[in-house]
Amino acid sequence: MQIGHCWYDRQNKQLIDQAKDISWPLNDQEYWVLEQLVQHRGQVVSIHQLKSPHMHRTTMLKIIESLIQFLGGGKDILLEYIPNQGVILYKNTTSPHASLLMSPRGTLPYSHYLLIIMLVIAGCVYAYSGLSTTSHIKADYSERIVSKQGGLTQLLVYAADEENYKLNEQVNIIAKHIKSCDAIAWQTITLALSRDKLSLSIIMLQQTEAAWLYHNVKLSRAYVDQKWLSPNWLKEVHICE
Amino acid sequence: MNKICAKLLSVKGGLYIGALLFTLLMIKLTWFTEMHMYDVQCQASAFDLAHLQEGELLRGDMLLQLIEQNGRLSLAYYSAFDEPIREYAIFEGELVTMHSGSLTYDYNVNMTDYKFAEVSHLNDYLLHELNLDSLKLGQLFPQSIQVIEADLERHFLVIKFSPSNQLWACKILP
Repeated sequence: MQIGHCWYDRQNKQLIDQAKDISWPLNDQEYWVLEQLVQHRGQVVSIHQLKSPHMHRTTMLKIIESLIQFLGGGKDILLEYIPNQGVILYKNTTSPHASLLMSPRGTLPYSHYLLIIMLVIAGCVYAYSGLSTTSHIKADYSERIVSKQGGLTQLLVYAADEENYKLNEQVNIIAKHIKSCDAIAWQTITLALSRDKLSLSIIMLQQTEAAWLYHNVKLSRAYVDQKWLSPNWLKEVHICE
Repeated sequence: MNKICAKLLSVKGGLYIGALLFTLLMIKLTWFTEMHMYDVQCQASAFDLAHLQEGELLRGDMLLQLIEQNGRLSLAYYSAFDEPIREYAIFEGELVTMHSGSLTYDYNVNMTDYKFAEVSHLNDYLLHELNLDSLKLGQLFPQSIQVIEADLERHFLVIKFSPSNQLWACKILP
């Protein structure tokens, strides 16, 4: 009788591993246990039923363990001991119920891998959109300005629309004026021209250990080409020192 | 009991536990993440080139106070240009959406109270800032406010009004 990769020779009371070409001559107790399992193949046989007369429980358990080793040895299970219930000899080999704690190297089916990967990707996407403590939104235009005294100031511009080429022209004019400052007291000067191009927001920022020093300037014009920039005005709004 | 433990410790059980924890995290993030706008006060030096006085640009001060309570926004503008004229405009709004990734708050806003001078600098400024043709009491319009710089430890915030593209650097109120 074939049991997995072993041949069970009932007449000679031996179990032969055909793959490894090893035979196991069974003693009376071992033969009794295997016979019980073979006769109830596919069913759970109780410990009580497996015990032959005068057989000690520990002996019986050792026999089961030996049979499991001999019949198994791979990742497939043919004989399984179910605590408090009994032992089952499966009709066909079955995959083990892998335990995360018992077999950390246990292989996962592709579907599980896929599920885990999808969960991780979904988590990352959600965390990026939901948890992002975005404390700084990048400006549309930035330029480093060096004052006459060598101080470095970052000029940032937020655009109202996509007309960046027009914006650059205006920014260049403003940057040129700011560059003419002897000294600039700010780390950052941020500009934003309103959508109708008539109102200009200027924010000057200086970060210190204790607090942010800042100054808002609002400028409204009657028409787009109206001139207002002058060295005096830059000093008045404290852009130039 | 042993059976339950064995099931929980199996790979499948681990996956189920992971999926459950993930779901709970999503629920927590969706429902309990703070979504309200910061209460801020902002001051600005204002220059009006549209109403020149003897060829000189007009100087003044502006104050903006933004407070949100339970999704209701209160936006108060005060300005002082010509002595002794003081102008103000109060707006109220309802939070429509909050885009957590870009920290943008979309409101539906309407003006509830105002005091404008005959030649109003504040009125003109607000038309730029709120991207409107005219200001009327009760007139509902959409307004987005984006937080572009935030330092909560130092109680500092920079906000941008959209679509007008106007900036304010502000102090976060306690």
